[in-house]
Amino acid sequence: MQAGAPFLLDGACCFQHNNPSHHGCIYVIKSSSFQESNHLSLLNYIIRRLLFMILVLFGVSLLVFSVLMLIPPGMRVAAYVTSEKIPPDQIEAMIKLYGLNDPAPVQYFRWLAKIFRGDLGFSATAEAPVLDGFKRYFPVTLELVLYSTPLIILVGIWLGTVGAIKKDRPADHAIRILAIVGYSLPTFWLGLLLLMFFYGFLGIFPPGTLSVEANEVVFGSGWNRITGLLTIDAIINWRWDIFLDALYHIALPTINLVILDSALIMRLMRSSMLEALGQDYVRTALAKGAPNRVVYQTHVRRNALLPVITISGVLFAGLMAGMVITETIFVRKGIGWWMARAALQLDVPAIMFNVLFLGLIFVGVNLIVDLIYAAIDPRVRLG
Amino acid sequence: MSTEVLTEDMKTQGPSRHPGWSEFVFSMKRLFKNPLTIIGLAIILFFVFLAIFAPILAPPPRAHDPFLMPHKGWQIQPSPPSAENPLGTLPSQYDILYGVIWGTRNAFRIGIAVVAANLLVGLILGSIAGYFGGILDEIVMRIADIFYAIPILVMAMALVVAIGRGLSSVVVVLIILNWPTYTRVVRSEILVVRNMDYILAARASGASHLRILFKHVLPNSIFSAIIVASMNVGVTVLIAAALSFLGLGSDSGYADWGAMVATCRNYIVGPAENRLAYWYLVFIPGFTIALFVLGWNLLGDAVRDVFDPRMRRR
Amino acid sequence: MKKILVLLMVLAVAATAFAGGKGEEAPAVEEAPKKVVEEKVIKNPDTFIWSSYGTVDSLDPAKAYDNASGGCIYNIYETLMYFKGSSTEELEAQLTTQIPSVANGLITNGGKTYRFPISKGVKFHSGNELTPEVVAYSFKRHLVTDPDGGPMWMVFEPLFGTYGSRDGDGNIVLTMDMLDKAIQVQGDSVVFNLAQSFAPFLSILTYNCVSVIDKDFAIANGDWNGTAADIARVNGPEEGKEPLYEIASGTGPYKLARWDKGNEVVFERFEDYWGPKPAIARAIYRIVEEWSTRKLMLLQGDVDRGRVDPMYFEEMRKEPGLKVYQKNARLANAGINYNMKITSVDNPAIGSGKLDGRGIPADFFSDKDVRLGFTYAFDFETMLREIVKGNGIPAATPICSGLPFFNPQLKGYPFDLKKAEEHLKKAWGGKLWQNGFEFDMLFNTGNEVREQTLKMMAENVTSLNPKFKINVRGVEWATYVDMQRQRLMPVYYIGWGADYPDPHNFAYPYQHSQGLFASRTGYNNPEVDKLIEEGATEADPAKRKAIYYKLQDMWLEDVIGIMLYQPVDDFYFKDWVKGFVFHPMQNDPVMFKQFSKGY
Repeated sequence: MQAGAPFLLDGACCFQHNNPSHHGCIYVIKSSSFQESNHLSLLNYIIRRLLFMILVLFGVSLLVFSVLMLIPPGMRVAAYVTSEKIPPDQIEAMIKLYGLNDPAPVQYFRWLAKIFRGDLGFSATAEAPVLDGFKRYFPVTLELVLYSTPLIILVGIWLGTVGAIKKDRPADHAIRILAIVGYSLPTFWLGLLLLMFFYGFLGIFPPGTLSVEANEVVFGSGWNRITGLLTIDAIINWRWDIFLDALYHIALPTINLVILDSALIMRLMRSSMLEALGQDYVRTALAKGAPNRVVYQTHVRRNALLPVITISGVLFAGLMAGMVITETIFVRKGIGWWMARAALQLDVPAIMFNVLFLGLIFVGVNLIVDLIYAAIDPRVRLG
Repeated sequence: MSTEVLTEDMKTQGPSRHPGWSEFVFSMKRLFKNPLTIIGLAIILFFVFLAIFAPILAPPPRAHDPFLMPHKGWQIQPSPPSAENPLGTLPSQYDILYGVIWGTRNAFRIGIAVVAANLLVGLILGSIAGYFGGILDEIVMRIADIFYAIPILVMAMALVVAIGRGLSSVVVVLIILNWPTYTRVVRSEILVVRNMDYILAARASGASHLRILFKHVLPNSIFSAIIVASMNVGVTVLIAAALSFLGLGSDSGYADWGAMVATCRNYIVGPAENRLAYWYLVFIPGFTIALFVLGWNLLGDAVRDVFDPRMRRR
Repeated sequence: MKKILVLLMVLAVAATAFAGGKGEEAPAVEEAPKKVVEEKVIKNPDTFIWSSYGTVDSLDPAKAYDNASGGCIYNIYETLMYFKGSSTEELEAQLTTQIPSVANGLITNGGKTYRFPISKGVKFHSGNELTPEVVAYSFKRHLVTDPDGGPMWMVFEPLFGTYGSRDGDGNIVLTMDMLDKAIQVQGDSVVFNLAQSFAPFLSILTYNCVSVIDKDFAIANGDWNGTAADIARVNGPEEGKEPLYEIASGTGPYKLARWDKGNEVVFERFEDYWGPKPAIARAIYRIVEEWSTRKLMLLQGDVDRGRVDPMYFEEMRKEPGLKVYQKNARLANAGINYNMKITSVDNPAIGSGKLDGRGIPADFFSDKDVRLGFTYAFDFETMLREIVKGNGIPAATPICSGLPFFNPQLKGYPFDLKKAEEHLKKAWGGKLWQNGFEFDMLFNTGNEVREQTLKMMAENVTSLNPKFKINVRGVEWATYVDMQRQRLMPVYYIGWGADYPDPHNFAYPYQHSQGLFASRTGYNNPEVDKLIEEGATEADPAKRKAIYYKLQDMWLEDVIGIMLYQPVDDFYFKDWVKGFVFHPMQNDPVMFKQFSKGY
């Protein structure tokens, strides 16, 4: 599915290509991925999409690397210059050491060769090999995404449905206003306000991922780090105090994300429901005397959910990529936080790896959503 | 329903009325029926007022660079609202009210510049891809696919660091990273339109490609793009503010809303006697951004409701 | 959908209950932080937590050249000797049995030979024994490793008269022969043969770049095996590839328990330490970058020391429950240098590159009147009062107070706008005043003191003549490094922290034509160069004093820059911390062996 990608800002999405409030989404899906042809085998389709994914990743790496190569070597070496005391001739020596002056294709193939060998490079911002940095930072982001995505979707669906059903009544107006306000709030602003009020004033919901004591336990000996996700690991290690502590720290960022991003789902769900409600078969069912509730839940909602599924996938991918600001403000050291520092310090190995990883997520999620879509909507044929 | 409206108008104004005009009147009527539109428009007009009358409302201390905010002294700790600084100050005593007023100009510049440029690029590339199809289409679309897969914020940050920070860099970078969306919109509209009968007729009668493009295809496809553009101004300003917040916009001391919000990070917790002491710093610049974006979003929504052919006659 | 509401309510309840009940597991207490914690309970009585924001670059002594890394290394490893208490001149022996001096006959050959008898019975964390061979190996290994951008140059200087193991093209010029001649084992001592007499040599041997490492442990972990053939393999490693990057076995009072990169370094007391047993069993250097978090952690006692930046001294001095050590002067200073030979190719900072009112020429500052004009326009008092907020000692020359041969009588140029105007009117034969100029002053973003100082300087200068325009811009670190290296900046804001407490360490970078700062400005005064070289090799203190006094005078005379201030810091501890002794050369973190916790 190559329907509009979200304008990535901690998942605060805007679907620029098309009006998300009607089935224009489905139009584009149909025209680009699917054809009204005979059933090709599912496996065939998946294989083709995977090949396509590899091509896209290759293209992404080439594009990003070329852009980074436009940056002069004197700036790219700065990631290794940790002190102002280092004299210029030593900096020159560092440029030579890391081969930053070599022609761009040479540097690209050197990087590519290393990747194939499994050497992802050393990240100056993580102060560790890139893969180690990833293992350290990724679970933090994943945890927040896993907690916020379902909440965002559920809240969005719920309020969107309510709005559609009670169209033009006070509840609907309130929800529409809520949606558009939530849509307009800057991520960083809401986060800072929440922190100021809850943490600064009330003293609850501190930033960070764990309290000091919990941190000692988690990073000390005797802790089994299975997934890296604090809440899950806490359960595995049967430490409910750590579990609650982690949950306590994740609450505020989650609330932040829910307020901001459910707005989009709300709007989408509402208009999607309205469209479905206007369909003939619904009016027929209602005329025939079926109770409202049954009609809404069985017919309407199922059909209205389709675009929401699409958006959910995009939301997930978007959140993964766009956690930069939430993580910076709430001092959660995940890949978003890492990427902000890598970008500011031009830590090329880290940037390249993350771009590849997020590209992979994006294309992968798209594939999964397409497959789900095809499974649900009988009108769609995979071509 | 549509015929009813037309005949209504024709009855009152006579059959010589150009349908374009009555459509326009209809649009305007619908636009202003929506209370949210009025609010959105009011907000935007308020900011337009601030932008235009900035030199009078907030006389710049340095004529050659009005975006430099005034400050009394060098004390780093922010001062609360007072007679001298009605909205308080930032760290290093920069006046918040001044920053809010002059920052409006920057916000407008960014929003409009990025969206307008993107629209133009999208029209050109979308036309090429959609109208001519074939291999040109493939190339453009595949490159667009690649761009979609790139995480925007990270790329934007790296690019701004490379080019050099500042609001013009932010504008350039956002234009570069956003072109696929508009291209796609225009292209899909063109795909639909180009197979229509009247286009085929024009081809058959020997009209050149360019003529067909400009006279027939584009005018009918442009609407979607304009709708998308109008809805996008708000989000563009949000992303630009985010980049400023992360340190890539204007230097400190310049009127840049995002940068102003960033200065509050060390002052979330006030001193022991009053933990909320710096509330004005955390609240006001961000609120300005939110209000501005809200205005554009409301307007964009209303425009879409009215002008989108599929939604128009409900 | 009501289920969602229920879920949210449950979360909310859990959160508030949690905030209320589990006081000791969250940094915040249920009473609003306005109340002072009543009970005198010492949190983590066996652990000392030191929080700051400097990231640790590497734990390898040959590589680490930053504050945080150095601080950690000083807890794990030891040098042959270190300073006594707060003194910067008196040394006390650690791994040697006697501090060499001319009097006890361990410094001979006109100051070119030093003999260190090595202590016996000292163990490493791994259990290995300390021997003179191990000490000799340590020194040679550090010199052989010599990573780019590292601190080893300061050992190369006295031993070989050079600055590194490689030449300009990257070829290794350090040979096994050179090493064997310079560092020798004789009986139970290690003997150093210097290229020339070098007054600061003993001071240099206190720096962490000559920490004694565990030879067998190192070799077992892939480090240099001690032969000539192996030198090429270990020389000049890439970032993160230096052998002792993240593993350690030293003789110090603390072992490396764990390094959680970007987060914290955890130390555990070494039970077989040769010296007095430290009171603290476990120490943690924790990185907390957000000021708000760090502040609350300190106030709540979740850390025993929190780093406070000067702009918050005033408010923090009033907070209850803390022990504050105020106004400690470090051996460091900050200054502004004028670039007299600006790179003019492709340089946006100098505008048109000509004295036409829209730029400046590359040699703009080579005219002394220009430099004097800018210097007289600098409002020293305001800077000290409002920007540095009294947390600095005014500095007149690069030799700062606390260093031997510091001249306390000297004062910098006063703030005198009339004199400034006078000099600027004379500059460039009057053309400067007539045409005006425009250029950029740059600072690295995030450094507020630099930003404000430059802005203040710019405002004062531009107030003299409307044709004067100075743009003060902040740039990202990468850009800053690049521009500095290419000498594109018209004005440098510089800072130097002592590597060792000797005036040579300051005079060289600031005034020698090959020194870090001076070389960037195109400054070249052969008389100054000669004096500096003499000062380093002269053994007689009276003669050295004369030399350094002359050098300080010449700094003021040549006015190639303005020295600003010497930082004076507060240290904030929780009130149950005891034993802190400030040392002007200390790192951040400091040595944990000095602390204990109690009331």
